[in-house]
Amino acid sequence: MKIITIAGVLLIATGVAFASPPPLTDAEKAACELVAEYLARGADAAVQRLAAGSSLSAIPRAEALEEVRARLGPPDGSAWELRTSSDEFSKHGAVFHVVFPSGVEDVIAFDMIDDGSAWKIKEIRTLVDVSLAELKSAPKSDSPGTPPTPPTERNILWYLFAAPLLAIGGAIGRRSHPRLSSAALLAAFVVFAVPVAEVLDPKWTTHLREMVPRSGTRATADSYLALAPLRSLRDAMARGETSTAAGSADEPQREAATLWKTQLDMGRIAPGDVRKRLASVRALTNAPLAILIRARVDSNEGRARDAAKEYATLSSRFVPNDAFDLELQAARDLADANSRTVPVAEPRSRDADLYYVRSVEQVVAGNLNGARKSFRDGWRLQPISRRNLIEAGIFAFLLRDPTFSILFNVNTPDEQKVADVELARSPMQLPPGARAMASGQFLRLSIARGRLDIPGGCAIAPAAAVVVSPTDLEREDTEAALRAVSHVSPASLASASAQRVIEEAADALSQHNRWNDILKLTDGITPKSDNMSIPLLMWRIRALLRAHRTEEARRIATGPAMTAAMQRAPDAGTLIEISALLGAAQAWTEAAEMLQRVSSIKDGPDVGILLRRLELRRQLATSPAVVTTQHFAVHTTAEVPVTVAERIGQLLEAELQRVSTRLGTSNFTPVRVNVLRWDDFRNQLTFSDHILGFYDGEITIPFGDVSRFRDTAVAILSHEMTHAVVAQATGDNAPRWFQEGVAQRMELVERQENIFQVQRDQQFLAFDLIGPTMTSSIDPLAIGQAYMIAETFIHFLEDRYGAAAVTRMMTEFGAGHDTTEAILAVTGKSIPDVDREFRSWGTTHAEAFIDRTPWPYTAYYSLGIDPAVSQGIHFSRPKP
Amino acid sequence: MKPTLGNCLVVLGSLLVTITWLVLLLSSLFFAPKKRPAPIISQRTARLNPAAAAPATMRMIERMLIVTSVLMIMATLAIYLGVRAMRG
Repeated sequence: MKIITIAGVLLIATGVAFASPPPLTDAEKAACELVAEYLARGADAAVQRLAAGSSLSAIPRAEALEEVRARLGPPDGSAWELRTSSDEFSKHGAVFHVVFPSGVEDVIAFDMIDDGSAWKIKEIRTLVDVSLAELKSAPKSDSPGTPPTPPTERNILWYLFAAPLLAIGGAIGRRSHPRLSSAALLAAFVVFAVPVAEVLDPKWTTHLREMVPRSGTRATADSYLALAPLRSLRDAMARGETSTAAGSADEPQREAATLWKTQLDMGRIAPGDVRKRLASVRALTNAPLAILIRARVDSNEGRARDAAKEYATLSSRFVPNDAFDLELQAARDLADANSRTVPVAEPRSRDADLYYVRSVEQVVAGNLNGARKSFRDGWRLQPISRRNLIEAGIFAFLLRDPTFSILFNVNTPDEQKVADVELARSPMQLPPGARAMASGQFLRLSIARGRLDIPGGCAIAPAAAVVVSPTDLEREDTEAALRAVSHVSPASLASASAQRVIEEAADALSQHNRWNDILKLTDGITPKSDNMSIPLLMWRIRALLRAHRTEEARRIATGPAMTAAMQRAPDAGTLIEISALLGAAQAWTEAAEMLQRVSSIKDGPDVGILLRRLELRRQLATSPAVVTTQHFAVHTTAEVPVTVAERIGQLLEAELQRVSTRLGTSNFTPVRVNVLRWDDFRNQLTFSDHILGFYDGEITIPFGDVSRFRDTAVAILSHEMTHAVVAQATGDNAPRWFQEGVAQRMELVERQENIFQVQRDQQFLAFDLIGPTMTSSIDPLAIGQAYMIAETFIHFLEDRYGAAAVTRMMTEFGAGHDTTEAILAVTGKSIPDVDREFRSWGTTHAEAFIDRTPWPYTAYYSLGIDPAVSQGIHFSRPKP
Repeated sequence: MKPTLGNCLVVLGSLLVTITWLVLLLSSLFFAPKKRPAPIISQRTARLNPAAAAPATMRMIERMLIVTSVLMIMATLAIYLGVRAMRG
């Protein structure tokens, strides 16, 4: 049953008054209607709504259409989002953040006027707009990011020589040839004036031209920077084509084009090149987009303080709005890393993310009450999916808080669909064919091939708006990413926009286990590819590692493409992640170098323990096998007795036979087994008391000190070995919940717990949340519960769908399907339906799973004498 | 250029010369020799004094303009060479 919970009910239930972000004004509603019309009909919709006194209404209609198209960009595939602007501006206008298919973004402000009958457009501002007065004065002001202009000394020099020479000529012929002399003296004066002007204003020629009125239309256009000549370029950029030239545009327009192109190329060209391009921008050096790019460059290069300053400047150079508040906050946090404080003032925004981020910061600062309040504010604006909530990890404390658990009940098969009480109270006008979805106070409109998000806009939702769950909204984004990538070929990897599209698609594909598709998409990447972004290279490496193409992965991780990318954006988190990938690719030296680079970063994290772990892994990986059986190569650290390694080898072989028969698998490729002492395992590898072994392509277990292999110790061996069996049978595509469920199920113990016995009220995690809990939760109790649910679910599968159900699931995962597809193939049901069936099954199967068959490994219990030897020794009394 | 006393003098001197030059140039332009009407007395009967065609001030301005022009060229050259030497 789909549950629609009204936020008003939640208000009463939680007993807490929510903060009220600014409600939508009439002007903002009108602007949303205008954008909706624009997405449906194009620029014509905007031109029809131009106010009588506006600059654009003063020019011919055809020119106005071009200007509007250039300013708003192509509607196809663009994603618009209403931002929260200042109180003052929102009374007569609205600000939108726009992202085009290529990833190029813009912020567009509609300044509007109410002419009595309707709201009309007075002005449309974008991030490259500066006033004409600023255009004139801009070159004189050297902003911090702009290096001083290189002096044109050679030209000035010639003028400085020519002027006195002409003067000498004029003086000599003053009496004999007065007219000629006057001309020479005048020329001397003019020639002298050139370098003087050059020194005072390097752009004096441009400014001189601007002072001369050219035509009637030009004169009216003086109140804004005409972008119409860049219309085709804007369209090309939105599609991700950067080869289009700016054409015969004037200098400010060329500079606007440079800024757009720089924005598109950021991340794949060196910061030095970005700075060079910015330095070439003179007239628009204080344009908001130039400031934004400078802020991002500063931020990428770790100059958080400069970045924070630039972001602050940005807000003063454009209509104040919250489009870049998250970036500003991140820069401030980095700049203030040592004494991080949460700003006292609450964000003035309708963007739920800002409240969630604030909540995280408050958790870190120890202010849990504040964190709860911020979270609730964010939730009211736009709920996040249960999966994201769990994956965020830090909100684990909320999951156990009863006043919150009713908000996002994680214990029901279905996710709640929440809508605000204000839903559709004052519906906006929408073009035909528009679809509306609401979640919390958030409204999403899909119009033609564009999208308009209106945070806090549920009140203006059309009556036909569908209330959806947060996961439904996230699925829309994933599907959009997959649709976008279908138009991208691996050959177009050189384009920055194609890279961005592939990155997003790779993220979506990885959630569906489609690693082969990621491999195909990134096929064009070689270790020497130019201008590759780090995320893209990392996706390629991950996909290669999944395909066991370790050597290729190692070459890319250590190749010049990665080196160049790292020089462009060296941040600690990425370096550590690359080091982990390098370690997985067995490039130990490079992995260690990468970690050492982290320690050279200012205020970077301490990587000492990571280095020690890497060294231990290297030692294990490069040490020769102590014992080799048919399917296992047992490696140990120096202190581990060889008898332990031998016994582990024997037990693993015996268990492999049992598990392979049980799961119907064959062809087991030999696996490396690392055996360590518990102290090394705990203090150098896992740093946790909760982990008793792991499988990451190799089995690693802390049994170096074990002298008696009881059933509990053998169960751990079986567990990790089952991971290897499942990984090999599914091409490493089995999701975590399945891996752990089967591994738990295969443990040879007398008693296995049943979640329905432990939680008789069935208040345990929904089936689709156990995977995220295992991978991301920081709550050991929740993780333990997730393991038990997974194991019980495998029992349920076997009981309800036959013993072969697990094998069929493995076949499905091996074919590259994800959980949803595999469950559907095996059970014929959706995940929530299977979860309901599982819970229904649990009402009659709520006892622990008991296995009373005798334990078969008594002979291997003690290290003592080899069982084969002990079988040959018989003590008997001598015959009389 | 390093801010030494010599360099300061050169720059100050150049500035002074340039200003003087500019004043002289404009003076020359404004005090242009007038085109005199044809003499009433026939040239055959009167000997014209060429020096009288331009007043003494004007002649002085012309000479000073030439001198300051030369000084300006020298100052420009000196500053250019100084800057280039500093940049290496």
